[in-house]
Amino acid sequence: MDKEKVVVTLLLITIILSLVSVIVTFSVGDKKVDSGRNTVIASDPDDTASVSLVVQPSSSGGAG
Amino acid sequence: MQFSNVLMVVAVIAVALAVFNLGSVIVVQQSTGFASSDVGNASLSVAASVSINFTQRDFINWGSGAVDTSAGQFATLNSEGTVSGASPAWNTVTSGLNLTNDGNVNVRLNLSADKDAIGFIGPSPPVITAPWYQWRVSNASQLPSIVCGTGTTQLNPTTYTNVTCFDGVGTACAADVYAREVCSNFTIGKIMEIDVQVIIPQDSPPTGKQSLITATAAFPAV
Repeated sequence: MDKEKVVVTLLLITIILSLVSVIVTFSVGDKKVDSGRNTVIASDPDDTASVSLVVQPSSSGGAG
Repeated sequence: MQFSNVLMVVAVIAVALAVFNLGSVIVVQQSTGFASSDVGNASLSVAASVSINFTQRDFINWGSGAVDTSAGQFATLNSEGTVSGASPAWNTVTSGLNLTNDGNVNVRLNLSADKDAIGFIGPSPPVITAPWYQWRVSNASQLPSIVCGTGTTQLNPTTYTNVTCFDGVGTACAADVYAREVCSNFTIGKIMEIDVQVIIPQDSPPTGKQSLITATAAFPAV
């Protein structure tokens, strides 16, 4: 009879391990699928620069 | 119920769960991929990032100066160090605008200015001599390098050309006189230098003057 109890205990352990295995399998699988999604790269297709100077009046009277 | 029957029920449940477990593992592994050999195969796509920036130098400022009328009717300034016919002289500028392709694709590059020579320098209309507002493009990357690859437009113009007639073919100005494609295949990571030259007539109105130059990239390059 003790031998039968041992068998029952082992079977129960098998059931528990199987349930844990199913849970772990699905959780790891979901993480693998989710990684690498939603990569967004911004674009900056134009830019502006400036050219500037100041013109002073000519002392010889040409400017103006 | 006899103990042997209980044992049978428990054993049947265990077998059923084991079968379900095996099935679920196979389904999940098929959806995420599993190795059939020691060679892996991963695929991904990278979005095109079109990006250009005046990263190193985004302005040219000659400061203040005046035309030396005792030397001539105009002063000449460019971003390669030339300041002539001026007293007091404008500041010397020895570097043009530096534009970098910092995206991840080659692009078509257009340059445009918000003003032509008369609008920028004046006077309007010209009386003594016409003002000039010119630009040229060149490779500012370290050699050896190709800033503008093969394509329909290769780095043009490389000599000073009027903003108002930036077609570079000697014909009448087009409708988009202030805009022109300067490179149809601006290479990733390369730097283009845009030099500017102006001629200031002695009768140019004495005031601060500014013009904006806009670089625009388009994908794909050709």
